[in-house]
Amino acid sequence: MTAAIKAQDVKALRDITGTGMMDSKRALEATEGDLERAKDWLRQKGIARAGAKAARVAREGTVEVYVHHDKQLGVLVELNSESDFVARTEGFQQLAHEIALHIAAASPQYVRRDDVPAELIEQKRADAHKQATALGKPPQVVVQIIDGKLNEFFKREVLLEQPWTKDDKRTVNEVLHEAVNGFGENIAVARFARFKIGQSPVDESDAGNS
Amino acid sequence: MPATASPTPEGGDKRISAEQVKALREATGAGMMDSKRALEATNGDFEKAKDWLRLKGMAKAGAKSTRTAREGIIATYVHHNHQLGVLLELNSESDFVARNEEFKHLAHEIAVHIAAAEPRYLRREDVPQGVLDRERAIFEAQASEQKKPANVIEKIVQGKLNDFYKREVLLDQPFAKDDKRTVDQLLKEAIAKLGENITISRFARFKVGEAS
Repeated sequence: MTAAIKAQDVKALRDITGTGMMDSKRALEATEGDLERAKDWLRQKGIARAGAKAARVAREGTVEVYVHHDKQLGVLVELNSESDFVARTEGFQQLAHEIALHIAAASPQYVRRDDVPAELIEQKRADAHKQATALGKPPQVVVQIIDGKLNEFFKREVLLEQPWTKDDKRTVNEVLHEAVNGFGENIAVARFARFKIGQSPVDESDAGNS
Repeated sequence: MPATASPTPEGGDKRISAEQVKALREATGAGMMDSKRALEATNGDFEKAKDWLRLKGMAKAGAKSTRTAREGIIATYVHHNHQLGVLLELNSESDFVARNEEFKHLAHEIAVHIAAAEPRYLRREDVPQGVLDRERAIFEAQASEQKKPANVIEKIVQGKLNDFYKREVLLDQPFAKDDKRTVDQLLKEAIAKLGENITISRFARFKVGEAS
């Protein structure tokens, strides 16, 4: 028995793979406690099955869709709560529906600022810098202009920072905060997808067919 | 009244056509007058006009490129408990086919299939190389533990990779309602029936709590 294997790792591996305690322990011992390698080890030995689904994170919530009547635009959104109880309330479902409608109308690209790729932000920064200096502004004004441009970009493309379509005095984030207060537990948009016909990236294998 | 003279409505440069202005607006998201001024300032050169607008800060950086070449519909499926949802774009060549009932039915069937069969990728090419390498390493280790000769191992690995595709790749999956056919074959049948190319361009499948 190797002392280095922690009981919580064994439990985590069991939860992920659905294998027994002794097998999970052996797998961790054979792989020096590396969880990812232990998963592969279990599959190699034929103990864990491929495609065994990861244990669900204890998150509750609802999935909501919106499709425009002409079927040219559709939105899928996941709104999370802490409890199943809140997730099932009509108010929560209604909020999910309104967020889906907002996404359809406001076409954000990201849920939160952190989701924007760093290279893209750098690109925006460089563009703004070029524009501001071309106008012959002093350096401290240039900095302000860059910040202003970046904020505009976030307001346009980041869901949580967009003005709420039903009341543009508030951002989506503020609407969520109000809901957090109302429901008494944390509420978050986990992810969304927004499909519009003809806007998906063109795939090379499709290119010759259309 | 002299026959010559209806003045141009906005008194602008006649060389700039309304189509050019419209195209520039769509490409940049700038307003009509700004687009017109940009084209006038650049003698109607489309690319230069785009740069002009960006320099003046009038083009919206995030203006979505408008691709209207492909027709189709968006289909959705939500499980009654709202714990699972699917969004799907099914494309056709013409608007006419996209409005066809059979086409709509096909889109719905595929959305339901995605809900049930949990594909992770649309096509084989969408599986990241790292994922494939890892699967392959596991299959090779499994096969070599059974002490098979090398050529047999390669066959076993290929077989297992095919199983992997059948499990994870939408087009390779057996259709949930009739597992004699793959989803790809289902599409091919629809192509033959409806007489034009039909493709799935993307899908999303959300289950509550599964977001990374």
